[in-house]
Amino acid sequence: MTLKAGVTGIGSALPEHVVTNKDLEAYLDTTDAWIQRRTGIRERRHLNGTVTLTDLAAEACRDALQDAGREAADIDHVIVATFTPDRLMPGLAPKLATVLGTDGAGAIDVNAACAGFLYGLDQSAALIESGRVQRALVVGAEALSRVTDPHDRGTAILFADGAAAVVVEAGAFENGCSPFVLCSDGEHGDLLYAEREERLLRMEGQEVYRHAVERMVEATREALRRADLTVDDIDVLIVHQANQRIIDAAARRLGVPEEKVFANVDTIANTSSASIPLALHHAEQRGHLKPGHTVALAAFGGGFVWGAGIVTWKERVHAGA
Amino acid sequence: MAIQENDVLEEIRDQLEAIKVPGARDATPENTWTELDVDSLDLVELVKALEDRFEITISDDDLKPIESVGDAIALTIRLSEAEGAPA
Repeated sequence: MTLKAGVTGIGSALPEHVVTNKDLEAYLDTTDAWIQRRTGIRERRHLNGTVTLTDLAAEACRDALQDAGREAADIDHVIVATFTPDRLMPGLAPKLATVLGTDGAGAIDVNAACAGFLYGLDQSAALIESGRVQRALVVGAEALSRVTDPHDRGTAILFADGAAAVVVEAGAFENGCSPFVLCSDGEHGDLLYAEREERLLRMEGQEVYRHAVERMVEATREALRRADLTVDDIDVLIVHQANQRIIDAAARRLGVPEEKVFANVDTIANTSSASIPLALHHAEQRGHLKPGHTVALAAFGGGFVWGAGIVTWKERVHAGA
Repeated sequence: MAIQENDVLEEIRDQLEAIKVPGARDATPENTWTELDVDSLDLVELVKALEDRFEITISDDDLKPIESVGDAIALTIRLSEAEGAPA
């Protein structure tokens, strides 16, 4: 059997500082009821200056390594999806790899906005399946509070901080990570962006919503086709946790029933590239996601960039492998 | 056969009901989105339903000036006639 890439462990970490909708009422022209009705978000987490994003990512990675039964030294490649690293340069990955003690693993940051984790996971799978890498850590780590305008009512309620990581390994898996569908369209780069000078996220909400739902639905259908599966084969659907209405709309159009759709946007809000792995971890912790499940992942972000992929969750390696 | 104003109105009411807009069933062409508390994201779902039901394509530019149920009905009928789509 050909070697495939499979997810064998997951971990996550959130900043301690909770920002509730009531907290936002103090300086924004909005209310808790309005935010909940329009976004499904009740609270979000922000880094408060005492913990770096590297610290948070390291906590998530240690959690993931323990879950996979691996040591940091077993890892030979670290991919961090982020556009809010602690420094402009170097990226977050080299420091993270050193803090973890990976013994000099390859380490690279990937910026594909809110779709970053899917791009990173696909890259790791490609490296593993080609035999260039044995085991990788793929991390989504984001501190969007660093690039959020606190007085912009349209975005300040949505964006938040968090980190999560998966261990991806080579093995004789039946399915592993099926071929991902990854796409881009730079024509719409001015609908969701942060300028170099201003360094704050700006978004045309309606247009982004419209494109996000349509593109994620198309990509998920194509990912299912490439995996030779149908919508009925999905055990758990995890859509980028941008807001509850995007999640609901994508699920409705795909025809995935509510009970198969996991969301944690109510307490996590939009953590960009950390959103998908945070949702995966919480889905597992709450008993929605179990080994052997077919999980469909879809994400969309500024660029535009978007994608979808089908993963068999913590699949057992074939006997004799 | 050209599509009728009432067919579009019924589709709009159905969709507003599906996305849980209060008072969806009593919506009239005179109602503005502000009056119905329909926001920009609700509008995207409404447009998608109209596109699917009447086989039309509504662009971002078409969508921007639409402020009421009546505007949406007029746009749907105009696009349907322009595209020659069946009702």
